[in-house]
Amino acid sequence: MLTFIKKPYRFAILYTFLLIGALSYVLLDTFVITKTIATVDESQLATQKETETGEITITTTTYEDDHIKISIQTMREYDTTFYVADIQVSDISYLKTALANDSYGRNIKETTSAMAEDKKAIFAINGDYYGFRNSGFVVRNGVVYRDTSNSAEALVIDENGDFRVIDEDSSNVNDLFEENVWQVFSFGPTLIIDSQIVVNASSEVAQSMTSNPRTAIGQIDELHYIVIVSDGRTDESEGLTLLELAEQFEKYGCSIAYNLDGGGSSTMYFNGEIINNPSNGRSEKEREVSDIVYIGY
Amino acid sequence: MSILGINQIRWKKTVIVYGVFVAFCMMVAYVYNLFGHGVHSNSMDYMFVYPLIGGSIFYGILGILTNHKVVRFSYYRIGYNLYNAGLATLTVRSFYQGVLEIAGASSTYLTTFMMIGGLLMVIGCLTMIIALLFKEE
Repeated sequence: MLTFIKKPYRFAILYTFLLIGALSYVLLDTFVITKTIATVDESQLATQKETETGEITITTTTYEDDHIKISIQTMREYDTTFYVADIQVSDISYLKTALANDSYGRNIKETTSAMAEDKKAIFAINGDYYGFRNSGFVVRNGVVYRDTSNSAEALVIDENGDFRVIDEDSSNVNDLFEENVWQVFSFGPTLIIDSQIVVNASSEVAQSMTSNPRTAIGQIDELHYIVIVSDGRTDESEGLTLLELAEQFEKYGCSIAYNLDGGGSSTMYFNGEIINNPSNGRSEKEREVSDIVYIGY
Repeated sequence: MSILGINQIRWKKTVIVYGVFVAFCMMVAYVYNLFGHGVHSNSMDYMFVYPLIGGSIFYGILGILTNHKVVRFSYYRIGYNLYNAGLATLTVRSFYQGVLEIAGASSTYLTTFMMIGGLLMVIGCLTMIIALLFKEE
């Protein structure tokens, strides 16, 4: 063994190959290899109050029935096209989430539109892409899937449909579960708290300092929400900074707003169509993600 | 050529090879950043620091301090190989961390890379010190 280690080139060459092999494996394990940890048990999910929709009115930009009201506006500011969905529901059980392939795990992915079609969603956006990370609270439709902190702020949606932001490090997901929390998202940052913008021009996701496609959700009032998805990374649309995004939520009167996964993941689906132009900067193609937020029965 | 002269050449070669590796790391970070949509990672941007400080500067200073004299060459070679392997592991870890940060992902493998790289560097360094300072009985 020692004789082998002494060899000037043999050891170096062998170790280089070993290192390349190890790096290839961990990259595959991180980004490609699928690991299912749990499957969604429909019997665990809380049931919604009403499934009868009443009279439905649908146009290309609106949907309205007895329990759900959605209208979508296309806006143009900051050299960017973005889409604002105004959503009102009669009960929070109509605001749901879905996991790709109905499974919780790593690298389990489907497009937002495929998941939305599968769930017969009226409206859907990409979620927080929990499957890209090993930590960060994951509570979906009242079921706890992950209770490890990502040392970040998480968005909590309670059973009354009210939003609040918690610090994961100082929170226990089991305590949240006892409070009948409906959804918890771990991405961020928080854009607005108590009707005040809490990001500035230098606030960005990780180290990103440019405008990007974005997805974010905010609350105006009881069971009344705003969702904004922006295009970006294209010649037509530069994308929004977090401050610009927060300013839009402020304009619509949101008391709280939270940034979800963006970039190539940003997708808005409505009545069977993708509303925005998903782009990763190289191609305009809908990216597969691990979870969605949707409105439906 | 004397053994001292051969050692001087080897030392210089190591410093130069590490210099090339520094340039390679800088180039990889630059190219990766071109596709990062403005997302930067310090781990990626500064991964060249490992071969620069741990490689070129370390061997440069070691050569000057020891006047390129190796007392126990076989031990030195073992330490040298282990130290270099550790340094390479930490550099690859820095690259991997950069990829994760830019993608917004996380992984538990970072700790494994850190432990293996650190351990190899410490063992390699100690073995080199023994080889440079202590004469055979």
